[in-house]
Amino acid sequence: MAAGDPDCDDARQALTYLCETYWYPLYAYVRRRGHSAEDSADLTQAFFARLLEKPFLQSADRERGRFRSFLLTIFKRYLSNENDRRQAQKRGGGLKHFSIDVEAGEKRYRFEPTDDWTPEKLYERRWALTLLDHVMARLEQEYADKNKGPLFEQCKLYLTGSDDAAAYSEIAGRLEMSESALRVAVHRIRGRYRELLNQEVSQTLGQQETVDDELEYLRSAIRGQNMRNVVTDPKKIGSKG
Amino acid sequence: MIDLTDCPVCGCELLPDSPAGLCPDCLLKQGFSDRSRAAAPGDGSAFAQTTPQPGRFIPPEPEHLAAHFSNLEILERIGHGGMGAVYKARQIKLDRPVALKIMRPESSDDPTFAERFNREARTLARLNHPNIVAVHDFGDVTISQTEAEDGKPCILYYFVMEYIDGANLRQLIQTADIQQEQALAIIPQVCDALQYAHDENVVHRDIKPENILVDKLGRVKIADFGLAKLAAPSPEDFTLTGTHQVMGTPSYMAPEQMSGSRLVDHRADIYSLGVVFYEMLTGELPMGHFEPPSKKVAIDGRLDEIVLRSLASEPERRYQQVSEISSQVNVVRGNAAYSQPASFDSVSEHWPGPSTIFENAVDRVVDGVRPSRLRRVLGHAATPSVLAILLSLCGVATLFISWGVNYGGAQYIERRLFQQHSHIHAIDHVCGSAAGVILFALALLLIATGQSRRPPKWRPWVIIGGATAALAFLATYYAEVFARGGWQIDGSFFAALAMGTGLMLVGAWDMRLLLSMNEKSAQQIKRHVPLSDLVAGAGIAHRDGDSALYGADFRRSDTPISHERQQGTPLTAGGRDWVTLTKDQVENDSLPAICIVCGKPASQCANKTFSFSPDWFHLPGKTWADKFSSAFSEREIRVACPVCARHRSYWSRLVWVASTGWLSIVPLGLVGYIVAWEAYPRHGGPQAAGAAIGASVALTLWIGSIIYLASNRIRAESITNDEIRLTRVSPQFARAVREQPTVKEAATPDGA
Repeated sequence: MAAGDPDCDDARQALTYLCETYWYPLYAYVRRRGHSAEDSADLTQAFFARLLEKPFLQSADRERGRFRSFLLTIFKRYLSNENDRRQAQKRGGGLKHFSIDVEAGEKRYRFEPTDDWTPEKLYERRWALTLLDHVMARLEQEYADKNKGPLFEQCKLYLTGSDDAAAYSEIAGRLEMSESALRVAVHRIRGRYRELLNQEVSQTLGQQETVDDELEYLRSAIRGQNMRNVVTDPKKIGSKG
Repeated sequence: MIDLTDCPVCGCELLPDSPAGLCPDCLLKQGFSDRSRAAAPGDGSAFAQTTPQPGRFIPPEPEHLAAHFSNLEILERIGHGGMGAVYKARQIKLDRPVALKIMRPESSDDPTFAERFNREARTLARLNHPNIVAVHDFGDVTISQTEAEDGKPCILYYFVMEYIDGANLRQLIQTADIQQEQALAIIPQVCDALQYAHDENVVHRDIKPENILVDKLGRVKIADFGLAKLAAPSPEDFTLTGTHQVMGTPSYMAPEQMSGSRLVDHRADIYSLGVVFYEMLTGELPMGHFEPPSKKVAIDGRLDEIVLRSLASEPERRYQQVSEISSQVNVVRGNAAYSQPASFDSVSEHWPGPSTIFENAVDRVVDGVRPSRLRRVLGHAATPSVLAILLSLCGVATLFISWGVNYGGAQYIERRLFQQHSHIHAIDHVCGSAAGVILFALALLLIATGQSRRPPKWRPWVIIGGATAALAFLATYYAEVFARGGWQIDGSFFAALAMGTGLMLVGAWDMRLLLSMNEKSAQQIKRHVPLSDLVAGAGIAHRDGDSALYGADFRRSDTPISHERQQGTPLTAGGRDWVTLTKDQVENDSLPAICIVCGKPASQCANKTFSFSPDWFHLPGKTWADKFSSAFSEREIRVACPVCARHRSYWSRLVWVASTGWLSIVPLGLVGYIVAWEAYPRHGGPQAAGAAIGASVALTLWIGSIIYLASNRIRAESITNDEIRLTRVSPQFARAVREQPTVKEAATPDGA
């Protein structure tokens, strides 16, 4: 996992990539904790700036943990520190690697299930969905680059494993392909999706976790159950990733 | 891209933030590695393998096959499975349609497979029978699967067989309502084929509905003879006409086959045939402790014996030859015309042969009794009051009109009233007038209160009271007449007596209607569905979990909130309760051992037939289709109700009281007579009056007790295909049923 190696330049890039992708779950978390939209945006932004500045990743057991829970843990620690000195001005001194789109975040936040989910649960769920969103976006981008946008649009229904034979012929007609060619295309898109999904997930894992375990956990996270692996006490970082 | 609200694979609700509009759960599931994918939890049969896996058979495209079969024109693929595929083709030279079935062995370098295949193919080719699918050719080809991304060349074994343009029995069972005649037309043909094969020492070993084909002319053909021996035991199988993968169906295998014993002979086919027969007749598989078919559907009882004997666990107890089955079936068939239940609404006059299977394949036969208009009228709320009014007016009319006729005008009556004539005439007028006035007042009152849907609570009491009063006066008159020795019976008074009695009965009936309506309105008051259930229903919870829960109230989005209420909450009136029993519970006799009437522990059961015909306003059923069909049916279900010793004769007692209670009129009348005689020693009116009053009291008591018993009787509020709802059961019973763990229904093979 490239981001775990603190001396590598790739590490910063990888980390930047991760942060850019997964800022929204953290935003949702801090928002659910009770802060206002602006405060949340500020906090999240400042947190990331800090993260990218200082070598947080050198924390001892980074290798062992899941990035997802690690991120939440240090975010919590950061928040509890910040609570002691509430300052509204932006930090980072100009080293703004990326910025958070507050409006977009707020709009998405309004769609969150608003019943009694704890901030942690919300964060986990958001993480899983963000990951999936990201994979789908990458897949779509790939196909668009190859000028196969419409094909992707029609075939993505089959990514969930459904196999509607009647729809096959209909879609083949729409795309002006033969049914057998369509089946092959669907097979390929599924394969590529699985590769991308595997890639994305393994990026957030250390060496001891398996992709399957993480997928299983993400499935339960979407439903809001089963919080097995979250470290709730910020002081216990690294003990059980 | 279609906008979905529910995931088509797992059925959960899709929220607006779902990635790319797809179900996140299913998307994640796709990411599992192969090994864990097979064991992914919570999938059930919805997670059908559709992605070709490495190592699985990927059927070649027709174009690729054509190169290997020069004498065939390959048209299209009509089925595929884990081990092979079937294509429709045409023999070019002979210009006839054929089916090409190809198979790939589990391990590609199995030397014995070729040997086995050859042997089987030769055996099959030897079988030449109109009811067995013929084999035209067989062999093997070597094919390289470039398109399927497999890359390795492999050997495919193929059969060229007769092409059947029709459907298999599985499809018929699922889509067409197979009637008894049609089943009895199919079975003998299957028996013929099997007998022929057995005579040639060939055992099919895999008789199941997918392997029995019926063509458009109604001819039955059996396919896949002996192939069960060829295929290694793999979980997938494939059919000629089906495209989805079907799990191997051990439910059709004979017990000796399942246990893997070597003593499997032709009688295993008989067992499988019995299973197929049962499924054709009832639509279900015979599992565990199952009911004879005639208990489940309306068919000839003699078929029970045939089916059950075929399904005997020990081969020795079954039929020893298939031909015995077909001869028995033909016996039943020959007499079938006379044993048709009259209520079947058959489409055509003559009984349909197998060719009409296809005509009926789309239509469903609706069974049931036409609605009785009389019953619908009788159930209407306003009918009793209308009847009461009519009767009262008739009574009034007979009294006064006959007076007018007899005595020539109103003036004469007036004169008579103010004259002191003999005692009898005074009584005559007083009684008659009193009775007439009472009846008239009753009629006016009923008219005035109108014919509302919800009858006023006091109406039945008023009817009964008025009738009793009028009857008392009339009876007094009659008593007087008899006491004087005069036997002239004034017809009008007699008619009025009849009217009065009729009114009593109408009042009782009205009372009953009122009571039943009270219960229904009490149910409708409680509409509150707790929020947690709404959320649970609307959430991402698994579908099958909800429907297995006891209590239809909790079914996700199926329940119209208006009629359901909290199960087990006591009614406002009387502390009785209602309970819904599922078909499972009734048929498996799995009701708790608590008296259904009083709630005490019970060890005995009383069989009670509940019948139900819906009235205007309250039709059972959750959807409009259900309600519509239930409106036209009258249903009866026999339930073995647990009762304690005291209530064992509960219902018979009810009937006894109802039918003979009226006899008490005589003794009570006598008592009244004697009482009056003692009180007033001189002969005359008072004794008779006493007798009359005694009789009235008896009558009232009788009617009152009928009403009481009727109102406390357990009755079926609604009967649908899946459940029966009983009202006025004891709350303990209802609670026990509710808390009983439910029996999960057997899963259907192709998944919901």
